[in-house]
Amino acid sequence: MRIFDIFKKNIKEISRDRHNLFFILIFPAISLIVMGLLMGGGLVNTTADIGVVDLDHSTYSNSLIDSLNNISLNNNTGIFNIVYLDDGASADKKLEEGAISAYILIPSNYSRSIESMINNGDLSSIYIKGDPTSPQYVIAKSVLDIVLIDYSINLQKEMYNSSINMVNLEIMDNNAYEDIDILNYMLPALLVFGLLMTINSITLNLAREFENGMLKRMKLTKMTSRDYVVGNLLTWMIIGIVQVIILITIALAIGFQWKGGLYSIIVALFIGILTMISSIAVSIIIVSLTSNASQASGLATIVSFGLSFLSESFLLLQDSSLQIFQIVPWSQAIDALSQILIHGSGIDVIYVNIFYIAMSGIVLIAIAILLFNRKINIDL
Amino acid sequence: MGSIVEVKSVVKEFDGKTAVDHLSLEINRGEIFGFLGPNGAGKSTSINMMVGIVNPTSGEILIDGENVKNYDKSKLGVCPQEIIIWEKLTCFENLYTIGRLYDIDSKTLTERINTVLEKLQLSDEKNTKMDKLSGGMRRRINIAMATIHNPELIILDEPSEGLDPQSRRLLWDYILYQKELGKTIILTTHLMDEADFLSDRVAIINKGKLISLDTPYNLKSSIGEGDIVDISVDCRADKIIEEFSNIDGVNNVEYSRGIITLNILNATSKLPEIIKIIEKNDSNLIDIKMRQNTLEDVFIELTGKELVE
Repeated sequence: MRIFDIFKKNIKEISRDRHNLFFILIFPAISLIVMGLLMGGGLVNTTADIGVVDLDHSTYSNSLIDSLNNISLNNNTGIFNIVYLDDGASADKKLEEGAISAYILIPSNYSRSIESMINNGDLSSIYIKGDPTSPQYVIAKSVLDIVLIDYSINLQKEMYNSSINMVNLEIMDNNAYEDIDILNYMLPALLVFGLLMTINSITLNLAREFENGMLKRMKLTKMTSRDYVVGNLLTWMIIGIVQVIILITIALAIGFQWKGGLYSIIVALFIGILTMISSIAVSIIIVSLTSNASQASGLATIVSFGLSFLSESFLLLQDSSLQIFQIVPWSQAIDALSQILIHGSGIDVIYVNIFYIAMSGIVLIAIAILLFNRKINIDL
Repeated sequence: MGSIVEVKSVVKEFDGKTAVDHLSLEINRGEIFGFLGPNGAGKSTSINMMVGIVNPTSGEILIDGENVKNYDKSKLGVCPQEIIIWEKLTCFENLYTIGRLYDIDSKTLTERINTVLEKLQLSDEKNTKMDKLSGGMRRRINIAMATIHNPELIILDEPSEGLDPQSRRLLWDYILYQKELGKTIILTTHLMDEADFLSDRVAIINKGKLISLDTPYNLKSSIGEGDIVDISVDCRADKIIEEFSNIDGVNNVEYSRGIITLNILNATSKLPEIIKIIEKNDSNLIDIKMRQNTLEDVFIELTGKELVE
């Protein structure tokens, strides 16, 4: 079958090209280690101080602070400390001085809004503030997100005496936070960062084959555009699996502890493969829209880093208007991988993400085949 | 014998410029058809139209009576001018991969690869990666990749470009071996001795138009029977050229870059007269060479001496 012959040829070529192999498999691994160091000055146990401003002083606000305290006490890796502050102004000052990474502000009308929520279905608000460019804020924000979800579920259960299964309650067990460290929060984003970086390698490989005339030569055989695209999809999906395995192995070696056992790893690989489809499609689109390998390579770098930024696999977005780009499949993959690897959630929690990633992949591949066919027919 | 390729009044325009201008020709089954022309004459465009990767602006190309677009790709083999191979694959893997893309079964393909490698004296390099091979070996694999699927029509675009004489002879033998198998071969080349030695018929195109099509012998005869004499002298040659033209039996006199070229019948008997004219014009003979009329002379005669870039 021609697809498998293209696949075998690609694997042989890539595996024998040391430079290529370095950029495909080793570069993302090095990125994982380097970014781990950059983000926290070390790969584990970086502490973030979180400020708490309670302007309500009610049972409800105390309950929230207790949730934070419980986690902090059980958190033997020391990921964060709680700093009590009197008001927003002093919290802002501490934030400016860098004494805290973020603070949570419970407004004075918090208890009233909770009651209103119970009676009328209104929303209650708690405010989190910090510097999104700070690595400690990333940790603080991640912890606070989890705490708030935990807290809201417990609150609803308490109020309604029900077992509303908004999120997987298992992950809300305080013991689950014992292993929280910076690497755990970073890994899903770094896995996706690796998958995004492959856009550069895929683009360069395809563009070279186009530029040196090999694609023209192959088009003179019985090979169809579909054979070529699917053969390459297969190749890069396998490489995606190897890449995810290498990254997870490195992460495990440097202290990553995931939840959910082998099942989580298999699901993570599956998410990696699905996400890789979008990366491959983007590469084919880039090759289709450019006229030579150097142009394609330049555009691939811009696109891959741009997507890393927009999917928040690189930095957290400060501009809320840009957060619309979190609909991109790579952003969905970060969410899904976080749920699976950090929280040990099941497919039932991430099926929407998976569906979205798959659909995006299909749409992008369809666009890629369309543009690639057009390019082949014009250029050959 | 019958024709395998029919090119019917084909025109190709790029951005308003005519690259191929009402080209019509027929290529007979089983022949080696030389396709000559200066750079930019429209050879590559014509070839690309014949293999169906460029569409003509008007006109029609039929292969075996079928429009080239509908022609079975496995019956067509194209060897590009550039060496296009997978550098990281071995000789065997290159041939195997391209053969598989023509849907040849593994057993047949393996047997065929062994035969082709033997014919091209590459059996010892079967498992050597392409980036470890010499330029000549890579060029031989380039042509092998165009023939591994046993096509009926083979198009060779300057197949021996840059080869040493030994490698070129080996390649010529392989081309003649393909002819013996009954294949039709279209050969484009800048090497006139190659076209002369291999081709049954030669077409010369210039500025997109077919200007001559015949056997190499007839083409050589068409610019005058006789010998070619190249003469170098140490002064301006205008007067000498004029007097050479009046020698009995001279078909043509040309001057280029210090060399006067005479096309003359029975050149040996005319040598004393030639030398006398040179001396009479107070000039000294630097060099004189006699040779047979070649296809290159025909080519220059038909396409001109003007350099085409």
